Amino acid sequence: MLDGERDRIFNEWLAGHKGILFKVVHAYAFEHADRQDLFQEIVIQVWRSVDAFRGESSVPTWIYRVALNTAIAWTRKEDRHQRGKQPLDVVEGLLTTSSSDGRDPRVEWLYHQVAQLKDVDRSVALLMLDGFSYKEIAAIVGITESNVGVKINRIKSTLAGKRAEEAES
Amino acid sequence: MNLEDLMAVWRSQDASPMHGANDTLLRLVLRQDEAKLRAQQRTGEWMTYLTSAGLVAIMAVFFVVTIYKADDVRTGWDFVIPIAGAVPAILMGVALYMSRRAQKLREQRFGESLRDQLGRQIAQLDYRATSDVWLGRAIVAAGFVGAIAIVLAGSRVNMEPNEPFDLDGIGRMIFMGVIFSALAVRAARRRAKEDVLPRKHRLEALLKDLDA
Repeated sequence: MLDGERDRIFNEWLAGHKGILFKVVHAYAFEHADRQDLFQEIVIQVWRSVDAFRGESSVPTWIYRVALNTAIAWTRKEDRHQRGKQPLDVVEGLLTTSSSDGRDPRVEWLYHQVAQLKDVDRSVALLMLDGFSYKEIAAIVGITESNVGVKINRIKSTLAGKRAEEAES
Repeated sequence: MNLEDLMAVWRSQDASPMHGANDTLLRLVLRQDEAKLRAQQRTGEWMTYLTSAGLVAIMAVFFVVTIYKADDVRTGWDFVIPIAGAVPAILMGVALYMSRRAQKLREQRFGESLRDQLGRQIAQLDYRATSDVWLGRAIVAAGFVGAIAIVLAGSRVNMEPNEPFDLDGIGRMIFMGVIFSALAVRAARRRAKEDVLPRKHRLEALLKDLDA
C-alpha cells in the first residue's frame, strides 16, 4: 500500500473512531504518563495495522481489536525499565485530557468498576458497553459465544452488586 | 440500573470525550516510528549478513594469498583452513535467514482475535528465548572457528612450507575460546530468562483468563 493511501485511511479511522482509543486507554492505564505511553503505543499499532485490514470486519471492530490487543499486552513503562528494556520515546502532550463539563459522572463510576475487573474481562466489558454482539465479542476476543455469555453475566452481576452496595450505604 | 441504562451512560461520553489528541504530534510520532522500525530491521539484518560475508571475504583473501605465495609450495592446510573458516560463517547466515523465515510463517498462522494475538506473542517470546541462546551459540561458534582460521591462515602465510603449527598456542586459543563461548551463552540464557519468561508467564495467565 502506498504511504499516501495509508495516511488517508488512517486519518479517516482516527477522525471517526478516536473515541474507541480513548476508552481503551482510560480503562487500561491509570496514571497520566501511562496513558500517554499506552495511547502512543495503540496509535502506532493501529497505524501499522492499516495494511493488514481486509474489510472482513467493520472498522470499529478492527480498531477495537487492535487497541485491546495492544492494551492487554502493554506493560507499564516502569516495568519495562526495570527489565532493562527501553520503552518507546513517549511524546508528552500527545494525549490531552478534556474538561469534565457536561460529562455524566456515572461514566467515571463505570470506568472505576471496569478497572476492578481482570484484564480479559475488562475487554469484554468495554465491548459489551459499546453494544457489540456476543458473536462480535467472541470473534474479537477469541472465545466461544457461550463463554462470552458467562463472562457478561458475571460482569453484569458484579456491576449490579456494586450499584446495590452503594445505594445502601 | 439495567444494562441498557449502563450502555446509554457509557455512550454519553462519545458526545464529550474524556481525552483529545494532538494531531501534529501524532503525525510526528508515526513518522518517527516508521523510520525507527525500518532502520532497526535493516541494521539487524545487515549486521548478521555482513558478519558472515566479512568472514567469508577474509578467508577468500587468505586463500588467494596462499595460492599466489612466492614459495609456490602448498599443503592441504592451505585449502582446509580457509574453507573451515568460511563454512560456519555461511551456515550461520543461511540458518539465520531460514529461522527468521520459518518464524514469520509461524506467526502468520495466527488470526486477529485477542487469543490469537496472545498466542502470537507467546510464539514470538519463545522464538526470542530460544533464538537468543541458539543465535548466541551460532555466532560465538562461527566467530570462534573464524578467529582460529584467521590466526592459522595468517601464520601459515608467514611459515616455512613444512613448518609445523604451534599446537600449544592453538590449544591455549581454543581453551580461551571455549571459556568465552560458555560465558556468552550463559549470559544469553540469563537475559532470556530475566526478560522473556516473566512476560511469557503473564501472557499464559491471560490465555487462562480467557477460558475462565
